[in-house]
Amino acid sequence: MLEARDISYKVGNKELLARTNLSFEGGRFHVLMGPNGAGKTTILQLLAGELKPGTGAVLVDDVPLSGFSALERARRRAVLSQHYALQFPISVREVVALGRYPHAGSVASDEEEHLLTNCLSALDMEAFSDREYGTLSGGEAQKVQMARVLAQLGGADASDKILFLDEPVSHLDVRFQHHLLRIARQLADRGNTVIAVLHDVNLALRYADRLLLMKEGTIAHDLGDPALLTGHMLQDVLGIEARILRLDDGQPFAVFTSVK
Amino acid sequence: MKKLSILLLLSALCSCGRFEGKSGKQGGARIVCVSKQLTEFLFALNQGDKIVGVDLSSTYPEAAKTKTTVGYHRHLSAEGIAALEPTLVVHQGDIAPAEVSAQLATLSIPVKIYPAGNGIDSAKIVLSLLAKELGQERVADSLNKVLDADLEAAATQVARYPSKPRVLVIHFGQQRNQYFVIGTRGAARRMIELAGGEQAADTSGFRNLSPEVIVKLQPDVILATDFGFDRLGGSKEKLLELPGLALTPAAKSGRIYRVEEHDLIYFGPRSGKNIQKLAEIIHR
Amino acid sequence: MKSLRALPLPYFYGVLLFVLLALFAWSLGVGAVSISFSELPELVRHRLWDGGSVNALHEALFWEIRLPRSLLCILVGASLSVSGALMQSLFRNPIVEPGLVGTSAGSALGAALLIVLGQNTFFSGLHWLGSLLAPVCAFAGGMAATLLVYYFSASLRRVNVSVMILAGVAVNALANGGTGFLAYIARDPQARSITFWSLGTLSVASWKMVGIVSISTITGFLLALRLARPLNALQLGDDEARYLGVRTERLKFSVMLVNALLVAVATSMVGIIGFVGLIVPHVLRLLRGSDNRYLIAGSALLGGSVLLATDMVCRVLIAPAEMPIGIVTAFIGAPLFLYLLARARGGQKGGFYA
Repeated sequence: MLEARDISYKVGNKELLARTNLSFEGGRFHVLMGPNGAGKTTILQLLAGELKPGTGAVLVDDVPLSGFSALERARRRAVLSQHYALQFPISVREVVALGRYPHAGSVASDEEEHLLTNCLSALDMEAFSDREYGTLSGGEAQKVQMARVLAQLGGADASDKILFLDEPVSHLDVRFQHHLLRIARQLADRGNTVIAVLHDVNLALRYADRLLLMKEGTIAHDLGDPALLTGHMLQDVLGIEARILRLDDGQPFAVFTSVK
Repeated sequence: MKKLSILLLLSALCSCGRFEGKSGKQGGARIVCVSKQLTEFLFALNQGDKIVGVDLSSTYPEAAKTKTTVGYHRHLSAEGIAALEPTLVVHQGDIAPAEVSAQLATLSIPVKIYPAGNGIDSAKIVLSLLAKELGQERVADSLNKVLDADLEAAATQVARYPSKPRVLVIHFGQQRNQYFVIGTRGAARRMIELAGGEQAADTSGFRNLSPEVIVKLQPDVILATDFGFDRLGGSKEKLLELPGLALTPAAKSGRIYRVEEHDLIYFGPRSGKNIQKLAEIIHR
Repeated sequence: MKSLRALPLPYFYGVLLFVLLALFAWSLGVGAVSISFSELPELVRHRLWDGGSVNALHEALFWEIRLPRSLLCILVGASLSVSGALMQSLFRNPIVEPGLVGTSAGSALGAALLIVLGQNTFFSGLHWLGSLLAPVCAFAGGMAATLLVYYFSASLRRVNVSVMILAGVAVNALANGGTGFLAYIARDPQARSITFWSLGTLSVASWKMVGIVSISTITGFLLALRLARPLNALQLGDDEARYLGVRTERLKFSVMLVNALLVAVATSMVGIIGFVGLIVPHVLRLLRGSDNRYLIAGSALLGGSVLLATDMVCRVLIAPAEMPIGIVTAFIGAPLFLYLLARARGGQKGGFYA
């Protein structure tokens, strides 16, 4: 279990995150939503240990994050974002293998190879194994990064791990978006903790177990069931008039009606 | 591209055999001379045929230019010198890199270091020392006597001139690729004084040519050494395009002359005559 | 090229090693003095087991000049190339070489300081120490310059690559200015040594230098290999590398330290030799990708070969005079670099990607 106890974060005088208490259970898919600058990425980075909170602490299974070494942390959680600096020619398989960095020497090399293949095939990227990463489309590249994150977590059948997704699908086409989130959903179903920052409300409604709506550095709404989301809440947080419709299968669907 | 470069490399590396022919064992001394002054002395002592290699700056006499060159005296290679199979290497203590001396020692190549002959007396001494090494003392003595006589003649010539022109010497430093004003240290100052002039420069070593300095010094005569003069196109007018030069008395009166570097920056048997020539030029 | 790519890695190293050894053997016979290859075994036998008779000059030349020179070539080439690989990976940029981030210029300044202020004063008596002083001064200068670049960019909260490159440009200018100033105030012979030293030469090689440089090269190489895996992770980006458990700030500092060690010690001995550190890792990356473990090991092998080949050209091009090696590396390196650039323009993959 991942827990944020009384954490806050400031840069200079600007408070990016007001004091916040949150806990995230395994087996659930948590989604953070909110306008730009609401503090979603800040809270994600605090939880991932990339930023140190100004007050309070982040705990994993009741142990403060500061008690883990960088490598121990990396064995426990992985982060998928959307900015990658890869400049040099590198094969798809090599990129995925980078995910194994914190696990060096923990498993035999043939097992390692097997794991890499599994991670690639989980994303239907096995055929791209020897392709040059730089020649992939944006969607394919992001799937490779997801495979790498999967490799870091220990493969598609990992459990008891924490996965952070920082706007992982914003630039992808619909098919890729769903593919990626489906994998994350499966990981959550295996008992892993998934925490994602998403912009698309309908994607969130489709995949999340829990919705956290953020506004101006605070958690404005914490919904244990996405079905509880109302147009008012969205309007409150996003500043845009919204309605929640019900599809034929009962699935909620958000539409934005007008901009204020 | 790859093939071409390999080809170039191969052709370059094959040329390494071109010194094989020189290893003919005629006996006799084979001298590598890494000093322009010593090169001139060796020729003056009639030992020119024993020289198998000189440094880049050795340009007098004309025959020195036909000798194999071992490169710039501050960028020598011990192996390059060894390749000429010298029985003696002479220099004046200003060679580089420093490691070369140690390397020549490990190769058991005899090296003789002569003091720098910056003045007339020291030049005469260096000539005598060199002559002694080669058994040419008599030649040296007569050369030194001629030098004394020439200097005396120069002194009488200079006494006739009423004026004492201020002389500036501009030299192109080939290694740093820029123009210098030759300073008060070294042979040039003494030469100019003996020729009845006064050195305009007031700094000791070589200094970069700067328009401010030139204008400040107000030289009556400007001497430019051969390489730099020729490099600018070999005419007074071209030389005047160097910054600041046009604003000097020398430019206004047109008293700008080309001199041979080897006539001006070290002393030797020819110095007496060179000073006479120089005196004539700067008092024109 | 294709077949080299397909070769299993150990065999590929084998090819590189073979090329290195072949060039090494060849280089022993190349120079202003011609020593035939058939003579080489005799020279070795005579010195080691005291048999037969040999040309004494050739023997001294072989043992005291050629052999240390060729070994020094391998060590310096390996040092510069491994540094190049490290720096390119650190900056995630193929145009980076030790020269760009101030290391070379800083080392040059350190050594120039010694030349101008040190040599003729109180150090001259300490002969044995004197030979260690140049690399120490160069290391101090190179590390100071690199640290200046590092801390300047780090002061903006986190080490940022573009800031670092800009800081590198500024520090380079500062160090070059310092060296220029020293050359200006120096007495003429010293100024000229600085000028020539800035072009590089391997003709100064001695066993002592081989000893000193081999320590820095081997130490630096082993440390570099240890940094290879985290450097691989760093290719994803700073944040991603941290998420993978890399302590990026520490990694960057270590990389710069190893870089300064490798570059400064080599530079203090033979002067500034450019382009080797740029070209060698670049070519290796084109051949078989960007895994730093491979790049570092490959750079050590190929770098030695490249410098050996270049030095052989220097030895014979204007023999018995000697071409400064910096000029030759620039003349060979720059066109090669432009060729790689042009290839990338043509749309071929893997040429230039900055």
